[in-house]
Amino acid sequence: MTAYGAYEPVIGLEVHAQLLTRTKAFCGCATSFGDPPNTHTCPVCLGLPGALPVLNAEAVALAVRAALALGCSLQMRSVFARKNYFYPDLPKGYQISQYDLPLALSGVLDVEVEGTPRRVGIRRIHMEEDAGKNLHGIGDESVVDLNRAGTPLIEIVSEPDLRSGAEAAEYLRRLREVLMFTGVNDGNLEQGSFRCDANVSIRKLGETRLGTRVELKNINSFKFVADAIDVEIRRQVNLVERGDRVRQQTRGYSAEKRESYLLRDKESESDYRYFPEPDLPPLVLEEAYVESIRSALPELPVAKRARWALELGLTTYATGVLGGHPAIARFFDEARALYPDAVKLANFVQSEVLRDVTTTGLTASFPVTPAQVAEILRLVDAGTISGKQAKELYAAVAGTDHAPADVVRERGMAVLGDASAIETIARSVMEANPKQVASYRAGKTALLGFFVGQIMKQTKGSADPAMVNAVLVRLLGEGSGA
Amino acid sequence: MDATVLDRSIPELAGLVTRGEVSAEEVTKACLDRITRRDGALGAFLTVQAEEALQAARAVDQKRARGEALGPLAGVPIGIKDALCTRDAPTTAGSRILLRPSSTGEATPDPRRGFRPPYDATVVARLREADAVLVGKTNMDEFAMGSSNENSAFFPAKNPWDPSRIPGGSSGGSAVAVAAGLALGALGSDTGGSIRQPAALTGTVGIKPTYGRVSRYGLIAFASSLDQVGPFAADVRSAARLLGVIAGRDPHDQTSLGAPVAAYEEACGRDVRGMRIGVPEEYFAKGFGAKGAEGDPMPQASTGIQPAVEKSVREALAGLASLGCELRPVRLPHTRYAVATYYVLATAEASSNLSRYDGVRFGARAEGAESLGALYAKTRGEGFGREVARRIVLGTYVLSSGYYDAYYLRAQRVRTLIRRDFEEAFREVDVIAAPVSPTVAFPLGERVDDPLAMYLADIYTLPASLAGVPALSVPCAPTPAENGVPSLPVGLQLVGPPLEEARLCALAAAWEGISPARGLRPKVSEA
Amino acid sequence: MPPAPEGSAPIAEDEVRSLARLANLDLPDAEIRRLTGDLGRILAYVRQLEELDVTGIEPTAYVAIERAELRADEPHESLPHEIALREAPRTSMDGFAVPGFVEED
Repeated sequence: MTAYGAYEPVIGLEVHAQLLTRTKAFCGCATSFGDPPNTHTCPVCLGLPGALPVLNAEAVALAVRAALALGCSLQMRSVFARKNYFYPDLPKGYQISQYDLPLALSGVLDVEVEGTPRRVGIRRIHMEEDAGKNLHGIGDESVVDLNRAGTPLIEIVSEPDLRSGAEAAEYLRRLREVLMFTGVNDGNLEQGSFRCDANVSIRKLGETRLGTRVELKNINSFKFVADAIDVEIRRQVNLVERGDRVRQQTRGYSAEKRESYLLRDKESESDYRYFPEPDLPPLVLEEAYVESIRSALPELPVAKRARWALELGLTTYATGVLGGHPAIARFFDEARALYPDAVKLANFVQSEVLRDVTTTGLTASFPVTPAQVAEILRLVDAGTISGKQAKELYAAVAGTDHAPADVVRERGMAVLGDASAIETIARSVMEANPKQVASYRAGKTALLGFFVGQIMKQTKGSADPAMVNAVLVRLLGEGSGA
Repeated sequence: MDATVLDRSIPELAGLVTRGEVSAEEVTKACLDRITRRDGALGAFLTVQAEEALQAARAVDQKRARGEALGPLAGVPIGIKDALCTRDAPTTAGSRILLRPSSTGEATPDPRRGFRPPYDATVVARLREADAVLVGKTNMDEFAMGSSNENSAFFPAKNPWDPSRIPGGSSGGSAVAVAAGLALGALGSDTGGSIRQPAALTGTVGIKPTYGRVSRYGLIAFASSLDQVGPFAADVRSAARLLGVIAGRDPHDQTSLGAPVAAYEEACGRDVRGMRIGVPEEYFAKGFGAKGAEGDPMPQASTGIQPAVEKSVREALAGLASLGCELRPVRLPHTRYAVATYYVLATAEASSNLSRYDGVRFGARAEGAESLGALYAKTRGEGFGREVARRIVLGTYVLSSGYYDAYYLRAQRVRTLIRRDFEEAFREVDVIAAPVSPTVAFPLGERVDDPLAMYLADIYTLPASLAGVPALSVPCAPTPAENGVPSLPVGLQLVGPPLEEARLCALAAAWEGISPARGLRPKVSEA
Repeated sequence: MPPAPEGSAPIAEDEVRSLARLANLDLPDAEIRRLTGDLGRILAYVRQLEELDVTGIEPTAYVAIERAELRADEPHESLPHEIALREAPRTSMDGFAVPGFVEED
């Protein structure tokens, strides 16, 4: 039995991800977002008479990179095809896509849902171009902006291996992360550079054939993906349990109402009349080319996090936070090159640095550099400041390019009445001078001055003398100098 | 300056301008004058860009005055088929669907309201760079669909040899412009014979290059895997020079070939002795390609080649033999299926290429459409002519699910068989010689109601298009005048292996040297 | 041209109507009827392709005898916005205007 009684949900996901190229798939217009309408167009992406598509080499490279990162079998010869239909945001009246012979087949993505690992198959990845945008409600008209038309996309189609909204959400998170870490896509759901549709159906447990599927369009928030899918599964189960049948439809999801709603009945599917695109010769890849892309693949996020947990002793939680975004992971790696204590570094970055970090697409803006973080932690280790003061120092350094040591000096921060810092230094001084400790404890209390002097030397005179005295008297009086 | 300078060859005229013996401006003025006096009765041009042409001509003269080197087409007036985009100048593809809505609500379609492209087709840009003077946009069958120029949404073009007859199509206007001396050269496009057939019917030279030899960027697409731009001229050397200017790889067209451009003009004058010429005897057989549905009597036009045409072509073949060429029979067994194959593949591609004509970004837009669907359907229903609508529907049919395999895919396989016929033939021969058209120019109106008859007349030209190999038409002896029918031109088709345009030019030029048609021009009346 | 013999019509009027719809061609009834006749004759002719044995023959989708050179990812100058809209029969708010519609996606 499943959560749905005798029924098993079957979910497949289709993701459209914009490739991070400078120009469009088939012309040299710049890719963009949010610019004034129709300011990045040319005869090709406007679909003017006589225009012809010319394939972007970088789009191919990124698509190949994605296919390799997802473990796909790359098709060394793939063919572009026209998908014919009329829509205002589709200027040529057809979309250049791939149909029978896509770029890649048979990949996998490993996900983990509530501790259980699942392997999700990827059926295919193909290249295609994006459509423009329609703006509605301008009087009684709709208005078309073709800036986005022609932006290169890859469509990633999963096998219908997912069984719940939670699994689907996990798959999307992992997929998005792979595409971000490989620099293929910026993972921006709000701007629509990463879009997802779900195909949801149910079947009786044990049945191998697929049930009628419903397409859920544009579920563009991780928060709602799981809900939307679960709500739709429940809707289908209810239908079937009361003797009705699921109709083939396209539906949307309303987060406020927590229900899916009909967009389009698809009982009679559109006939797209696919045929090979005559204006583009087949895409033929060379072995050497593919190998050069394969060898330049960065470490993938799951592997990186697993390695961090194993080699660096980081907690799963910490690897998730630090290894969840490529810019953050890179920051962490760079800081670690300067400050090898991974656990201390991880704690500090999580508790202090990440609070101020905002990510936009693939970039993140940090208020400090990895070098500054490394220096702060070294100052703590050296006892120049205490762990508590590290927070204060960070706040003072953030947003500036000042060296933390300079700030410590300028602000006279070091051990300003900080008993614990003085204590640390006192202990180290005592450890370094066991003879004098023994002498003092044997009665030569005048040696206190010696210890005070040592401490002053180490703190460059910035320690509070009264505090130093008090601490020394306490420690030296404890009998054991440790 | 004597206006007969317009009857010289392109190399001769370019030489005169380059040497300063005539000015480009004089030549252009004479040309525009001739167009005014002669074209009213012929309909070769849809629009004439007189001002722009004079400006371009003056610029050439000024360039010369400054001592700068002039291009190979210096001052040469050229007509441009209206399927080619010319920056900021009206471009109609022979259709009303590319006409801007009229502000006065007039009913007669005026080509001057044509879509103004924001860019030049690559071939147009290359002509300009070569210092050619573009005088106007020539008439054509709508979206290049037709073999008579009667499908023009504006007016038919007329054969200068007998203006009651068609000049051929779809590049009818370009052929007429050259035949009537209204331009020294013209660009046309050939998808299934649309350069070769009008060239044959008007007694001019027309070349269809190897697929990919000339850029299609800026050519309003009909059938993408078949379309090619090519030159018209009154003689082979002129056509060869034009081809040399427009040929070559274009980064805007990923189907264009990177192979170096051969020296076509230089090839003219090459010795052709020993060239092996294949003659497909089946092309002369009765009813070749004419097979129709069971019990459906086939129309006159498809029962095979007209005797007078055959005679002229055979005489030309004998002429080639007299030049020292060796004639051999070849078989191209699958080319009889070329018409069926072509009308599946070309219409399929066209049905998709023409989807962009929807009233949204350019051209015509239906009035009073209250919904998006109505806007599309009304605009297209009103804007496309009958032949275009017919081909769009046929193309939609053969691509639709359920029919794709039986029609489209099958036609692609037959296309492979046709290509192989040529590959095998070219293992034995250097050039294939054949007729261009089964008949001479027929009277206007004779076939407008019979699409299939019109299609069947393409039987000799379609195979080279399907195979993507180069082919040209060069005039051979015109038919003798008889029974009130005047003497009418006949063309000899020469087909070569891929990228062998130079070889074809050499053979055509050699034939031209002894051709009875050489130097013949129609008498054109002047208004 | 004589009409095709009875009962041999390869395509029905209804089918032509739905093809015209698919192709967004609003044609009057008389034209649809005429088209049906024409297409019927053409399709009957085209069927001769079935005579040929094409087993094992690869379809020719591409005639070009070379492979394409891909384009470098370098931006070019896009059309000025006014030029992009210049030929449009109807514009609004800097975009191409069409009768209002509801998105199904």
